[in-house]
Amino acid sequence: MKLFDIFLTAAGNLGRNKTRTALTILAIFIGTFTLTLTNGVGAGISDYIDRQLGNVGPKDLLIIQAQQESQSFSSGEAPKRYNPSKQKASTVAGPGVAFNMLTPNDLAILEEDPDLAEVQPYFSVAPDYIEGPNNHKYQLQASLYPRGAKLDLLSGSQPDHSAKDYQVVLPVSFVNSLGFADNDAAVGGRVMIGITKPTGEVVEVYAEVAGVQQKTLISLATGVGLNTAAAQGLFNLQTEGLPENLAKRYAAASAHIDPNISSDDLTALKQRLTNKGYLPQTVSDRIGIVRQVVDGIVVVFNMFGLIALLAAAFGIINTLLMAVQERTKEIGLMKSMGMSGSRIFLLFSTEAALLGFWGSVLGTGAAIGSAMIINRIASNGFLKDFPGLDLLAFPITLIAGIIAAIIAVAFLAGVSPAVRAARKNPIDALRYE
Amino acid sequence: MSNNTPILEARGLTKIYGTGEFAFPALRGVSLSIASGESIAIVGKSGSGKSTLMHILASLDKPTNGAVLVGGRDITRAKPRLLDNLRNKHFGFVFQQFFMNADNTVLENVILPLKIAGVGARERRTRGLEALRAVELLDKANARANHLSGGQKQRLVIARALINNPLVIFADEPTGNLDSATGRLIEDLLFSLNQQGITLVIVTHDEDLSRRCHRRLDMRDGQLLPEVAQ
Ligand SMILES: Nc1ncnc2c1ncn2[C@@H]1O[C@H](COP(=O)(O)OP(=O)(O)OP(=O)(O)O)[C@@H](O)[C@H]1O
Ligand SMILES: [Mg+2]
Repeated sequence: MKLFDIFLTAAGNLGRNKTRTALTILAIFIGTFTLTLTNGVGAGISDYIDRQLGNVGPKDLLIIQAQQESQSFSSGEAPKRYNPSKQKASTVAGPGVAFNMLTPNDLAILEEDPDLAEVQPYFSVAPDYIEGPNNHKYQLQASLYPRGAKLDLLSGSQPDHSAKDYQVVLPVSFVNSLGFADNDAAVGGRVMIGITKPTGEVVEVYAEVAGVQQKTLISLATGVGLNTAAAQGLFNLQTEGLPENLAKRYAAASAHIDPNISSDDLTALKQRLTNKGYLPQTVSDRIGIVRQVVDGIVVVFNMFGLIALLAAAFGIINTLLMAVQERTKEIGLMKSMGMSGSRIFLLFSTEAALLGFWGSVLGTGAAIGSAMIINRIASNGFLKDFPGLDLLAFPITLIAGIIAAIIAVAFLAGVSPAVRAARKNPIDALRYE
Repeated sequence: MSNNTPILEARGLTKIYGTGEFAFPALRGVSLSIASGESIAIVGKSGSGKSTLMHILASLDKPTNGAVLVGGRDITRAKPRLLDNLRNKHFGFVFQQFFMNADNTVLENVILPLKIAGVGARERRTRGLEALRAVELLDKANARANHLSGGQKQRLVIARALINNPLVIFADEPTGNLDSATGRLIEDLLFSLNQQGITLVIVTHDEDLSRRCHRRLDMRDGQLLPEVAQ
């Protein structure tokens, strides 16, 4: 029998027991639907993460912290000997934890490294409040945005790190509360930031609004964004009058590296810094964690899809075994007319593959259709503040891959019934009642 | 193949069903020779081994011992592909139960051997209609096979058996399920094919049918009785 005729015959045979065929396809459909949606979420979010990388900082940014020793004060470990020459970082201890900070000495060491440029301390600041044109005070979290970071702005411009005056980038949610009419009105406007000096005195500084930022999912900075001048100014106020060894303590430093650095050189650089007692991280190292979490969630959801598909595979096996049984006479007849076992096998496995084809095409189609609806609802609803985030994305390779994989699974499920059909003895078939 | 080479020949066929305690000898040394163009009736009591013999002659089954020769060639140990080809191209089958795909049309049923042979769709149709004309079933070509009467079904099966211009048609009780008038029509059809040179091997209980054949082989308990000239 010609392959084309086998294909047509198999397709026709699917229509012979329509209920059974429909139920089997439904089982495959459910598995495919689940699998496509979960992978779509995975693809949609990693797509978004890639685009959000701009918010986080340029690819050539290296963030360096002091290594955190695993010395726990509650563990009863013997204390380590003090060694003034080895002590690179100063330690801030809180209840049960200790955090190593960077010192000016560390910054000097980092500046000496030939691969690091523009080493800058990260000024962590803890201002008290922010006040806008309407004179209401709001709690404030503010942080220095890394140089070169491309913030997702709704209006205004990126903070100017070389400017002398203080600049802030407001999250969009601040605009109305502070008393600005709209985003555009806020740009160029002035806000006041209050901060407590070590003496307990609260001082206020003015800053200009450089831009209004879209809400983002991931960012290295939180709250109101500061340019270098603002961050440094606030930091100085916050540490004013403190002795040098208490004042100049930094949670991290940032440095630029050659954007075209080879991955070997980057590894070597990181190793070098690690050996010196630092913890260097590139932007993708940091973002990698977010992505791993997303991937982890997708894997878990995929398990559900795969379990559904496994059940569907047994559905296929069952359907075909019944078909083989029902068609014993027909198979015997075809064999007595000279149809070879291998062609009989092909006929039944084609039927299985066609079940997989219909189930997966309908399943992926329905998933894409519902994704369009979900995306629309989500972007008008709980993702309203994240324009540009499609919760679900379906690269064509993903869809093609899913369909191909499910046809392959269906084909495999069809192997055992097809072998059974191929082995049928024409005589048994002819004597079968 | 020269004219005096028998088209079918059996040498010392035995067939034992089951093993050990349950072994049952259905054929116990059957030898025969059928010339091209002959019509042969195989008769005997139920369970005497007629169908078993026919299946082995038609290469549908293997003997436990002995050999079957088709056109002088021993097919007992032939490869499945050769046997598939032999049945597909040179043998036709008519069974007591009609064996057809009830959901398909009459025409689709008739052309099944050509489809298996890989003949193209257009030629299949032409030859299918030709075969249906030969059994006077042309007007039912597009009817569902299941809607045919018993006699029409058997004519469909005969059309299917002759569509590949076979050398031999094997028929197991071709009239067993039909009333005697319809049975007579089917017989006429088979013998007209025989007149055109197709060898007939018919298993039957029907005395009249067996009398119309050139030769009659009597089976009893898996053996052939000595032949009596008709
Ligand atoms: N697969 C089998 N296993 C065991 N015994 C079998 C098998 N097939 C046939 N037999 C036995 O072999 C014997 C011959 O069977 P066969 O079908 O050839 O008889 P038959 O002459 O065609 O009978 P009928 O006229 O009733 O069709 C019977 O006794 C039958 O029970
Ligand atoms: Mg019989």
